[in-house]
Amino acid sequence: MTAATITSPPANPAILPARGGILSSLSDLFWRRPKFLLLLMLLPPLLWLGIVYLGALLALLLQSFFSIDEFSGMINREFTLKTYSELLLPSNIDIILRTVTMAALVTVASAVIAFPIAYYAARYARGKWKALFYLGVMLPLWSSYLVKVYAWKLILAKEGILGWLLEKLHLTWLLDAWLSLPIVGGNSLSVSFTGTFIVFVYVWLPFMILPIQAALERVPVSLTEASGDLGASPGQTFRHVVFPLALPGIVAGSIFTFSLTLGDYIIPQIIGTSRLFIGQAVYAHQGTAGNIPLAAAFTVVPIVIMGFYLWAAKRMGAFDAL
Amino acid sequence: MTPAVSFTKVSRHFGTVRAVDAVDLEIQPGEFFAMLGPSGSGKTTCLRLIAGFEQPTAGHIRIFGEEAQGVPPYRRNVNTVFQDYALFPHLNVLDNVAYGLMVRGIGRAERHKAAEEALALVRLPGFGARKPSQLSGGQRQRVALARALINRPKVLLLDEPLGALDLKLRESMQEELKILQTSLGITFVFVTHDQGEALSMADRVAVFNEGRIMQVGTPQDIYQKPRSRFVADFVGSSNVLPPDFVQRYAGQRRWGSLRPESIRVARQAAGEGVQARVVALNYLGSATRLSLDAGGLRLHATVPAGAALPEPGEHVALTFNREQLHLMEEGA
Amino acid sequence: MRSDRSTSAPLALKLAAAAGLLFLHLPILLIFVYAFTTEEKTYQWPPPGFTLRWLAVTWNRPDVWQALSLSVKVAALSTVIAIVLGTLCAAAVSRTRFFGRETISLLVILPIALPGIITGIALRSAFSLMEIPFSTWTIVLGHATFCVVVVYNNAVARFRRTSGSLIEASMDLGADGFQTFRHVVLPNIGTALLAGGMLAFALSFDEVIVTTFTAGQQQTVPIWMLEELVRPRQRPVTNVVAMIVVLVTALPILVSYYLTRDSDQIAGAGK
Repeated sequence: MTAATITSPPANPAILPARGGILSSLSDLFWRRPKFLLLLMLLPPLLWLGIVYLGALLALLLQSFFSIDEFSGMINREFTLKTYSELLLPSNIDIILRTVTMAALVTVASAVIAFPIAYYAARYARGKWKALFYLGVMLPLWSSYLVKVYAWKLILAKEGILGWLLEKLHLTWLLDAWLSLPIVGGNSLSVSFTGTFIVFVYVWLPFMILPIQAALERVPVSLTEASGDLGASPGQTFRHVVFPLALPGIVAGSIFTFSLTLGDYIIPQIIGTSRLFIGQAVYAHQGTAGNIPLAAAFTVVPIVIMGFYLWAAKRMGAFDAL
Repeated sequence: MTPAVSFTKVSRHFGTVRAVDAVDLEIQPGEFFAMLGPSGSGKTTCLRLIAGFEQPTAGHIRIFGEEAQGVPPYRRNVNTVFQDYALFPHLNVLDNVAYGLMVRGIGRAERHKAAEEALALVRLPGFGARKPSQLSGGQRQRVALARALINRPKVLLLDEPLGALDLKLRESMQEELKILQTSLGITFVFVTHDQGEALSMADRVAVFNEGRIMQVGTPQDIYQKPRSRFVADFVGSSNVLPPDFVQRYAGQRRWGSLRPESIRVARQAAGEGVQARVVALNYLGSATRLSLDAGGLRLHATVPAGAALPEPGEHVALTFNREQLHLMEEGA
Repeated sequence: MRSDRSTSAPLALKLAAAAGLLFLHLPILLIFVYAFTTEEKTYQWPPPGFTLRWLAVTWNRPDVWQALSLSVKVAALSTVIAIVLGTLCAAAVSRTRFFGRETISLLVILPIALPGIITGIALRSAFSLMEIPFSTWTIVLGHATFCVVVVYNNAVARFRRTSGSLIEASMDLGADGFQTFRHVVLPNIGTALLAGGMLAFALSFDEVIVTTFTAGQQQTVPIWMLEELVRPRQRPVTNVVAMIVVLVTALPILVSYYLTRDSDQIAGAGK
């Protein structure tokens, strides 16, 4: 092998001729006008999301300013704030407060249960165990929502596994005592707020674990070592170093748990009492009642709440942990 | 002779940033040309303009006399060795090297044969079946070189190709590149921020600053006759002398430069020459570098190994030959 | 990187983490037991006996098959649309820094960040305003919208890890835009797209909240299950379908995990 084979032969132009053909000239055009290519790439997704999604959202918002004629049941397409004033009826305020309270409780409980899992996965799990933890969270996250709800119907039913377990442990009295409490109690767990709460926590838990784990992974181990080195007890290290650094992850996770609870109407319908949540109210108003304006106004409530929530979360830097 | 690459008033602006500002430049065929400058000086942008990754905001670029305006990179017979090598991670070494022939529709057997030859040229025969991730930094560098050479480019562009290598490897690669360039006769355009590298490898060097070329010349020119304070400062460790100082020794009010090795240091405080105080000594192996304070002016001088060394704090006298004091251009 | 120094976890943390994982998995495993119970009327535990009978009964139920075929069709169509839109968006966002990048990311994420019921009712009211009748495509329209984000996230992550100079290197060596896409871009982001597509499929296959608003009288598998949960007809068949759904959604998730597992190594090799 000599260098000669690679040296330029005599007829070796510095600029190669265009290859011709539509694809080739298109390719040249994209190189000359990169902005044109960018536009071409963005156009389909933007048209889709802009028309299908934002368009639908705007249509919905528009309808919340319509009202329904009480006699004919027809939608009156005139701008009015009447529908919004209906939101302020005590029964509707009740629904909103109930839903927000539930969302807050679910969020706190998820964070408490999620933290040890995320902490262990981020700090101690290695190699195979790390993969196992990851899949152990991903599989329940992605497995069927309805199947998960259904599984809890099996568990919480009077004759189900939980009742059986408590009976074997001679703890049935405890369950009965809990169920006899006002508000949280009921005929059985599957028709009580307690049941609704448990299922909400179960279904949204993985959404809390992953962001916390992501935030914790970013805390270098040397930070906790430095803290210990400076004389902090493990408890102090946790309070002053680990927890503040994990907080953006918790806030990021809470965006999911909060938002998902606010909008859900299936869990309280299958496991819960007859008292409504926002989602159920929306569903009922748009469905059988045909009151789309009120349903639309109701959906504005979670949008506004989430708007504030996202704004606050952004200020806390939670988006980096998503 | 038609220049290999010529720039006529070429500018490339990014918004308000003038990355390249009205640059005129001619690179001769077969030349090993270095573009030297600090980061952000526009040297890499110039390279990317030649390759066609950027398009000039104004001005004209010609490659062997042919207008490059509107010609995309894949129609320029110019190839690049990237700073991060940019080897295709999904292809093995042989297919990486053969890529340029593949996209030109050369058959499998023929392009693999050519790729094997190119690998032999960069002294990596038999490495074809490996994946880039299985190679060391130096080996990746050679693969990138073989890949860029397989299309027989008229001009080879190298973007800080040795930057990621350790010192020893870097020195041996410098030598190899130089030998390769001489034997292939291809025009090499080489971007670097390392002045030692530029001076030791290139036939000619262009020194860049803030989007402009400060000076073009042979390494000797650049080193010994810097035209401006920037060049004197950036290339090597010249002492930059203010006009007042220069007037006293050369009779002209101009900025001047004096190489550290041109200064002789005498260990008697009351002797002839410039009075100075030794601030610090740096042992360099082949020589010792003195930091000196000459009445507020900071100077450097090198003393060859074996010569008697002054102590820090000692007062010394400095002398130099008048002809070694280089005068810079007016207003530089 | 830091494994060598870390000591083993405190016992309480181990127990809490293990309990949390068990809490996540036991309910799903329970479904597998119930699929084989001989009890027909209640959710009795422990099951009085085990049988394979309900597998056969489910196999012969045309409504289950119809729901399954609709779900697969919808999920496949939505996945294809999501892959195209998500990839385009990811490519545009990672290629260049342009004004409004953040807004586009937000727009893509919004359909899953806002509660599903909002997307659902918004689509439904839009359909009724424009007098579009319910069809497979109305379901697909909704599903594709929130599936875009999973493909987008996967593709953006891969683009970020793929050296930007690969595209330039390809063009430099003589490949035009289309050749570069085929020989360099696609092979490098292919597995990420496939993984994103798998997740999109699983997401669509399982979706119920938006679907109830966009399906009309049609039944996907989740809608079928919802009907059974609200108005139970044959509980053992529901158990079997639930088990099948768990298996069908677990598979693409596992495949997607294996596809992206080594991506650091693959994509980082260019450096």
